[in-house]
Amino acid sequence: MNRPSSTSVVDTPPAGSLPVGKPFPIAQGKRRNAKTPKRRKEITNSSPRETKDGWQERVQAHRKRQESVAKILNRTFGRFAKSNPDLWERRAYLMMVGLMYQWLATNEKEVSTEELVALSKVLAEQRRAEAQSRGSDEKETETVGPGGELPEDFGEAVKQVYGTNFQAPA
Amino acid sequence: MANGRDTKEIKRIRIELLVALKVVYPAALQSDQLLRSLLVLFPTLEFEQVKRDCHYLTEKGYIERVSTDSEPDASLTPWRRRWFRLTTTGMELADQCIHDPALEES
Repeated sequence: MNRPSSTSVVDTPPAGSLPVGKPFPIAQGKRRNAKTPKRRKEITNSSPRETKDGWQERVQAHRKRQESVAKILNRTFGRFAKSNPDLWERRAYLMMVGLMYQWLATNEKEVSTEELVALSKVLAEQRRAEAQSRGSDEKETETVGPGGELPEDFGEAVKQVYGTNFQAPA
Repeated sequence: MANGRDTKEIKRIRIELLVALKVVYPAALQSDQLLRSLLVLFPTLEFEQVKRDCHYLTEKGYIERVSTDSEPDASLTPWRRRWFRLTTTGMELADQCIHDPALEES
């Protein structure tokens, strides 16, 4: 893995923070006048600053939402690395985390716990069914063509996710 | 400047990429999911920019690609379906344990 070359662990004053064209008092053998206000160190952090384009408000709202997403993901999956060290390599697990993140971080509407649980169950069942079908009969293909039949509980799964009944095309 | 974006916005996009991946660490997100989540903050963002930034952050060692079992040949996986996650260095940067001037807003 490439290590970052420009990473530093020591804070350095930002370029341009030093006064330009004015010699330092110490260089001229003068002591700092007590009446002269001290130059304050510029505090640097990565938090967004007040901007005219409203960036701070937008990013704060986004951060707050992401914090909630992190809490939900932690509660749903537990401490990833400690309790499930190998889970993150599985596609189903990745799909689940990814979809939940996308759903929670981008949807403006509130997502209820019930909806979240339903989504998790549907995905988990889907992955389990896929894994089972791969394991038992790999040769058998399960494609639903125009005249094919959908699983019995498909309508219920759609209802759980979307809150509406599924109507198969006539 | 790249694709009409100024330096400040380029940095912001890269920072938000890291923040998004930090939320799910040590799991990963697909680049398409990253794009969708970033569109909340950057409505005009395009996938090519995300792709470039994923390249950049990967070469810097902050993120890495994750290949799943369902990808027998990872090079054939479409870019939008590729998974990325934070490296330990990326996590340290996202936690502000270390600093990178190239990713700090001036």
